[in-house]
Amino acid sequence: MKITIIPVGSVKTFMNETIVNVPAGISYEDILKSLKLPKSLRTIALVNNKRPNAKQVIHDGDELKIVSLIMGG
Amino acid sequence: MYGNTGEILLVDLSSETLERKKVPEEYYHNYIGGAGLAARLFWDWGDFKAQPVDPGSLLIFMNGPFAGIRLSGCSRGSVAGRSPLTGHWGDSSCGGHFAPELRFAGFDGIVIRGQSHRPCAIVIEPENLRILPADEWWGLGVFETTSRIRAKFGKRAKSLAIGQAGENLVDYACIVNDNHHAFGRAGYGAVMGSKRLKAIIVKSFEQNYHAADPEGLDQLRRSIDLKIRESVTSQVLHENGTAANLEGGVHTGDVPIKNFRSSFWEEMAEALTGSTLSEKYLKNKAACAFCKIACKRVVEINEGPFAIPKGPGPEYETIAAFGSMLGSMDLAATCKAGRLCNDYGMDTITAGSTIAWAMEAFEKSALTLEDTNGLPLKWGDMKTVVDILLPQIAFRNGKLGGLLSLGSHKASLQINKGSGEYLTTSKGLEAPMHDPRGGGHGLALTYSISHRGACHTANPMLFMEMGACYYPEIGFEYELEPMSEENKAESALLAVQLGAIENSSCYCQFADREITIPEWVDLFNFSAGYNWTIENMMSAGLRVFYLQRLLNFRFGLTADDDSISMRLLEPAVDGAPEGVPVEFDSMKKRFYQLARLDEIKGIPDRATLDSLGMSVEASYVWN
Repeated sequence: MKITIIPVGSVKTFMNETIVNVPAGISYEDILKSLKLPKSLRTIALVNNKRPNAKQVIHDGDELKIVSLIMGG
Repeated sequence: MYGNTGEILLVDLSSETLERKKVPEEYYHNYIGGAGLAARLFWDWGDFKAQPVDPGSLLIFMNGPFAGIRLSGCSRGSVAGRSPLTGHWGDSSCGGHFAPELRFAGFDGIVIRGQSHRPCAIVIEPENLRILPADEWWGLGVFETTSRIRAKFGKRAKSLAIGQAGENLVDYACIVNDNHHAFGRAGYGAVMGSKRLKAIIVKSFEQNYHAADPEGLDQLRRSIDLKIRESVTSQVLHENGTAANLEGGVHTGDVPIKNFRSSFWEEMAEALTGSTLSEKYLKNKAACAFCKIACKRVVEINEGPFAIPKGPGPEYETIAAFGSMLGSMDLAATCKAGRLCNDYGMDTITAGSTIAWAMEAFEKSALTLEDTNGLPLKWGDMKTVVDILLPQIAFRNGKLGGLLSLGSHKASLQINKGSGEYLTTSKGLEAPMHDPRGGGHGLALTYSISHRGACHTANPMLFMEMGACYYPEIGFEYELEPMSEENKAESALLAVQLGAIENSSCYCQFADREITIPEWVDLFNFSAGYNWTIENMMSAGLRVFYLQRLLNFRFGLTADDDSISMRLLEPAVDGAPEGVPVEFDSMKKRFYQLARLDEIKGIPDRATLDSLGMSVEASYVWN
C-alpha cells in the first residue's frame, strides 16, 4: 500500500516529502524508525493530522506527517 | 570573591545619590544571582506597600555569576520588582550586551529607588558614576534614544532605554537594550518611566572576569560551547531564528490561533514560519554577547504597507502574537508590529494578546463602536493594529488606547460584560505563544505556578515535554507525552528548580539545553567558586522558587491564584489536540503535595523552609 510521508518544520532539513510503499499492517512507529532521523531531533508523528494511538496501524492512502518538536521562545 | 564582583550600585533618584554596596557572600550561595538574588534583595530592602509606579518601589537589575564568560548564552541579565501589569512579584530577563558590560564595569547589579524630579539617565563608567539630565531624550522612541546615546558615549557604550510606552506608564512597557533585546515581560519599562529614568548607560574599559578556577573554566567553556554550536537545535535556530519550527508547532497544536480559539491553520504555518522569514526579509543574523547560536534576526522590508528599514526582526513570540493570534498570516505585518513595539518599548506578547482579547470582545459585543471611538476591531486587520492601535496604546490615547494599555486582565475587569471568558492569562500575565493543550499539558501547570504569571521561561517545562533535555542525575530520564498529565507534576518539581537556576544564573534556555547537570555544577564552581554539589545547586533552585512564592504571599497571593484562564484548558476544537482534556486540577494537587505547598496559602510549610535555612523568612508567613 502507498502512504505519503510529509516532513514538517525543521524535519525538512533532513528529508523531503515522499510517497512510499509499505507493507500492510505496519505501525507508524516502525515507519518512523526506518527514516533514521538524527536522534537529537525529537519528533512526533501525525496520521491524517491527528496524534495516533500507540501501535496504530497505517492504512493505504494515509498521510504521515513527521513534526519537529524544537519550539521557539 | 570570584565570578561575581560582590558589589551592586544603589541609586536613589530622589536624592540623586549613587552608592557602591557590598552584597553578603552567602546571598550568592543561597540565591545564585539574577532573579534569585533580586528576590532576596527585595525581601530585605523592598517596600511591600509601595505600588509598582510609586517612588518607593524598587527596580532591581541583577546579573548572574556567568555574565562576562566567553560562552554562548550565559550573559543574560534579570530585572525584577513589583510588576505594574500584575501587581505582584515578577521578573524579566534579557539577552544582548548590557549584563557583561555591567560586570566588566565592576557591578553585579543596580538597585534603583526614588523618583527623579526631571528626566534623567544613569551613567556607569569605572570611577565615574553619575546621574545626568535627559530632558532632550524624553518623548523619543527607543531607536532615536539609543542613537543619541551612541553619539554621546560612543558605540562601545551599552544601554538600556525606554520608549514612549514606558514614559506614559503603559502597564506592559518594556526596557530595551541596544534596540534589539528586551526585558520584555511584566512592565518594568513603566517602573523606569515612573522614576523618570529614560536610560542606563554602561561602559567599561577592560573585559576582566575573575574566575575561581580559570583553567578549569576555560576547558569547560570550550567543551560546552562546542556542544552548543554543533547541536541540531542550535543549527536550526541559527538558520531560521526562534520561529524556525513555527510550522511544526502549528501541526502539534502549540501555536495559538485567534486568541487560543483554534489549534490548526495549515496555510498560516508556512506563511509565518522562520524559513519564510529568512527567504523574504532576512538581511543578517545577530547574536547576544559571546553567543555562537546567533538566533536573532535583522530584517528589511522594501515595499508595501508594512515596509520597514533594516533593523531588528521579530522573534517567534512576536510573530505568533501579531500573526496567528490576531488571525493574520501577514509576515510583513508582524515585522512592522514588532519594530513598533521595540521603538515604543512595549512587550509584544501582552500587546498582541491584549489586542486579540479586544478583537474577540468586539466580535461578541463586549466592546462596542462606542468603546472604540468608531473603530471596528476585526481579525486579521493588521493595518488597524499597526497604524492605529499600537500608537494609541503607547501614548494612551483615547478611551480604547487607555483601556488596552492596561493589558487584557485589567481591561476585562474594567469593561466586564463576560469578557473574562476571553482572557488567556495566569496571575494577570498573558500566556506566551505556546498553547498547553497542544504544546504540553505540563505547561498549564507551570504557567499557573509561575511567580510572575503565565510564563514559558520561568522553567524548562516546555523543553522537557518536547524531549529536548534529559537529566538522569536528578531523576529526569524519561520521555514525556506532551498531551498527557502523566509524570507532569513530578517533572514540574524538577522544572521549577532548574528554572530558578537558569533565571538566577541568567542563562539562555536555548543554549543551556546542551549542559548536563554535572557541567552546571562545575560551571558554578569553576566560575564563582560556590563549591557546590548537585544537591547544593538544586537546593538553591528550590530556595529561590520558594522565596518568590513567599514574596507573592506577602503581596496577597494564595493557592487560588495558581490558576489559569479556562480558555487554555478547554478541549481544543481542532488540530492535533482536538477534544483532549487537560487534567489541570489533578496535576496541581499532585504538585502541591510534592512541593509541600500549603493548600490554602500556596507557600511551603515551615519545616520545609527550615530545612532550606529559611527560618527567618518562615517567621514572616507562619505565625
